[in-house]
Amino acid sequence: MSYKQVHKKILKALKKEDLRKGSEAATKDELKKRKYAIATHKYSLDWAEDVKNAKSTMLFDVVSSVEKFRKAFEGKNKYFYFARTPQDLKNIIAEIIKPGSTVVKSKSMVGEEIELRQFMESHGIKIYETDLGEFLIQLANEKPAHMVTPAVNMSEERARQLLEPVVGEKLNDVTSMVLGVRKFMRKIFFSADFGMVGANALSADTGSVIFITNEGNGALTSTLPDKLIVITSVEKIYPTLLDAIKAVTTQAIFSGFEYTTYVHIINGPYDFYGPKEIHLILLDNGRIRNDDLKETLLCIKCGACQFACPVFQVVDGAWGYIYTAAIGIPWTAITNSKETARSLAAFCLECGKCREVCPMKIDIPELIRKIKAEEV
Amino acid sequence: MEEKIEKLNSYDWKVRDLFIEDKIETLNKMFQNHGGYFYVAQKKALRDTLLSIIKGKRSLVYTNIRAEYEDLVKKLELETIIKLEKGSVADAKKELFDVDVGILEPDAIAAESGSIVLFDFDGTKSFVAFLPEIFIAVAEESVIFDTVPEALGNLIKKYSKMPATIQIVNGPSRTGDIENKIVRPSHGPKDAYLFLVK
Repeated sequence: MSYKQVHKKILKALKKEDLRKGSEAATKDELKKRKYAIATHKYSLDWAEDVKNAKSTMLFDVVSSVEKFRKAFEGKNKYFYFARTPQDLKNIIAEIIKPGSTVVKSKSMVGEEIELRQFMESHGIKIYETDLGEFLIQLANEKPAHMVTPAVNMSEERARQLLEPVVGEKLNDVTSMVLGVRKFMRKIFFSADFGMVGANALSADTGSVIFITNEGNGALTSTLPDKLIVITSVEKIYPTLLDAIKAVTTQAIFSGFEYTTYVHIINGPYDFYGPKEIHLILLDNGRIRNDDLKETLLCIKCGACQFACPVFQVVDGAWGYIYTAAIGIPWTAITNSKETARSLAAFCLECGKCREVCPMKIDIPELIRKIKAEEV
Repeated sequence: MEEKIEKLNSYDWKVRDLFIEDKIETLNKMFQNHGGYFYVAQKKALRDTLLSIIKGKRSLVYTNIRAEYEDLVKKLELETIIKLEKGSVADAKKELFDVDVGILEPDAIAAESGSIVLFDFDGTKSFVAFLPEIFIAVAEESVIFDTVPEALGNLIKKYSKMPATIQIVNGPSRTGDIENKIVRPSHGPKDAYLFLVK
């Protein structure tokens, strides 16, 4: 995206008064929830520090970390793949999933990053996003506005317009929308050929995949289909299972969840009911060789910096491309395009609010400054 | 594998200095905070409470419960009662598509976070916890630990192997994806009950 394109997108968003009001209300609410969650968990700041230290040791030598994880993960009916580029990952998916297959998918920012859903659809695969926010984004054919709450900017009315034709009944309020989607998705969960999930953390000692959800969509995605595919990225590897548990807890707390309903720790296929094989694809996509913006990889994708950003508070997802606002800018530079990241960086106010709320204490303004100043 | 377990056993799963004096009260508060229902029940009273929960329901699935609870479950007047264990059901997906109630004994409970912890080797516990509309966990006081990590450390020691999955359940499923309005259920159970049997 050029500077002009970003500018146009932001101006367009500014003209939508309902979006501005919605964004302001939603972000304030999210920041309040976050404060409350941190206060509830008296150990949260200590754990955030432990997570940062654990992550730093793995990021010091990412290649060795990947190798350690691979060794711990591989086993009977467990297949490991390394994808250097988005295209590599798509090729692997095309090998595993034949056209005509049905896939139920949990939310994954790695999937969004490489536009995997769009690729799978073009490959003749029927794919259903099962997280409600992500399902709305799929129906609207849009990009997520936020890393944790992708449809944070969507009004109830817009959600109704998108859901009614799919569910096939009148949906009077949010409760009926949620129940309508539950009913619609239930049949698909039970008949899908593949489940696809992202990971919030991976542990190099046990080779486990850890992910969190509230809706139970991840629970059904990872237990009902016969085959499970995990798509994730290299910076999610932690030295131990204990570190990984601390990491997902920290992510949830700083995202504003006092507790998430489900924490799933997947070690292998079940030996009776549930998936019989697991395919795990680990994506690099510019992360390993990026020395100048390496600090970005400490990010646990809690999205706190996005909510704290005054620009995001007004225009939300309009300021960004897939990864939006604050830490989204260095993420864009690493995984997508430096040109787009530079165009986005021009709109940063350099207020430093993002740095204040980051549990990993990433110097986000400095990363954005480097991008702005063409130092990377 | 043995080497892995040995390493896991060497971790300090206690994680931090925490001792919860009144585990049951904390558990009660936390589980209700998640939107779940918590009961301390005498064995004799369990049957009556279960009957009130399953009133009007047709089907039930259970796994991993001791013989005395199994007897109790079998006597509940329901159209269909399924025992889910390795190989007990030919087409579990078909049978459990719209099952009303699921009952199991959890492997552990963490008081601080009000969490139900399941060590699932063959998929049965996950099916029972995730698929029914109502999920019921019946626990004895001996499985209550202070924190989730402490519970995990103890279970790894107990089983001496890692299960296919470890599931941590904090109440019924929910979503806040439309305008931050919380709705229960989303894709998992609508109600979650935790019984502590004395």
